[in-house]
Amino acid sequence: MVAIIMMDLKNVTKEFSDTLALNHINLHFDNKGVSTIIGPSGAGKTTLLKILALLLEPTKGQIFVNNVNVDNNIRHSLRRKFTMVFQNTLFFSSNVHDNISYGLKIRNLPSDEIEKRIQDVLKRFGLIELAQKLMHELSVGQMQRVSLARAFILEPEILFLDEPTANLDPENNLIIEREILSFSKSKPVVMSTHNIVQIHRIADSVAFLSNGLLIDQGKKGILEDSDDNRIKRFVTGETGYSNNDC
Amino acid sequence: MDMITEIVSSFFEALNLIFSGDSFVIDIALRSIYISGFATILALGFGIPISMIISFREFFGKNIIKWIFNISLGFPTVTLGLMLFLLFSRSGPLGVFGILYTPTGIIIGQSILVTPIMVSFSVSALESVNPEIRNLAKTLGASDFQASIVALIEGAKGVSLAIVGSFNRAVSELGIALMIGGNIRGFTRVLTTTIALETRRGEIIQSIAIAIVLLFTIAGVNIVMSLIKRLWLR
Repeated sequence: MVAIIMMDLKNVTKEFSDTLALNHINLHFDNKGVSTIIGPSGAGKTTLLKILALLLEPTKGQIFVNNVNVDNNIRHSLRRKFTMVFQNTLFFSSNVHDNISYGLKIRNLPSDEIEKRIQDVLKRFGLIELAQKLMHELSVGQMQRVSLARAFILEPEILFLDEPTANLDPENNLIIEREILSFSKSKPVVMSTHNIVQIHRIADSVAFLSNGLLIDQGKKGILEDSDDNRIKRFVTGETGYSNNDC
Repeated sequence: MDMITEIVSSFFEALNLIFSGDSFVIDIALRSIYISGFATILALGFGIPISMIISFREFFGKNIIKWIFNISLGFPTVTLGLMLFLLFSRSGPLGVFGILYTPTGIIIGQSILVTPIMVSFSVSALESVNPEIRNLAKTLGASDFQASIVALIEGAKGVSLAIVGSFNRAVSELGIALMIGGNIRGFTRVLTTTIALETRRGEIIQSIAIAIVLLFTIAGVNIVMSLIKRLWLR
């Protein structure tokens, strides 16, 4: 398949045993730029990102990549072109170097190529000194930088980020936003966030979710222009509609 | 000489027997390690895939299967020994294979005995691994199988406990070794059957020596696994 240029969800519904996480979602993502998914806690943002990253299968509805319906035959090969960075810093119980190299190793790349790419990405994310450190020895900010480095090194066609800067200090926040913007110049980034200021800084488009429903989608101006009460409450940071990690 | 003095005296004589390299003791100890080690490896071979399926897949009857393995943890060895004896005896359905009174028979019996330990402990270890680890591996390009291997590695500490527990249970059981092995000298005689035999014959020192070897064997395996955990499973 050629480079991924667009992705569509058509009537996607996701049910867990006793919860309707997503309800008939229709979404379209273009070939580059930063698309953000926002909404209060429990809105379904993480579930939506996992479905987009092909880690979860929808209960109903279809996913299209370049207008091709994603079925089980192409799911794994397509997934290799996508990478998701999780909200809670997830890592393998090994050191920074091994965490970053995992994706390259399972692609059977030559070891000198792997090492070259690792050194590049370690340098880019300021992780050179930490390469041999065990992951649990790192701060949250350093862990998140490793998570991003681990995703970037694979040079994915689309990058999915689940609240990548939550709980980060300004310095780490800046590094990560800089890398996201740099990546999004040529490829799409889809990220969830609570951070209104961040949306204004880096987002090209916004999709607002509430209780599994897509309330609105468009340019980031929809947040201020919307008449929808749920969006207004989110923007003003009302309880349960938090955006307080700005 | 009172009983306590006799036991202490026997203990030191037993230590002397062990450290003097008594060929009888060494022979039985090595056979026990070989038979129970092989049974543990066999149980590991089919216990881990079963554990991975139970832990990582959703299917009908999953909880019933987990429950069956859990209640099988306390399966009496003599009952299993009797069942296998009937299966392996010459007139039994598997009698044609001639594995009654052979080390192979004990290995098969012990591996069946310890499989519930292997599965129950491993499932518990694998289910305690963050389920998102498999998603992390997948999003980095792993297939379902590769992602399951990653989760297995993450749960390796718990799985190593299952291996140790299985070996300990196998090497210290008596029922199967006696009923399926027959306690044949130089062939199927292992540590537990020797202790039973020597005690019955009144050879207390020999019994204590073998019992100490059994405890050393169990402790040795635990120490080796602890070292492996410390060195490789950080």
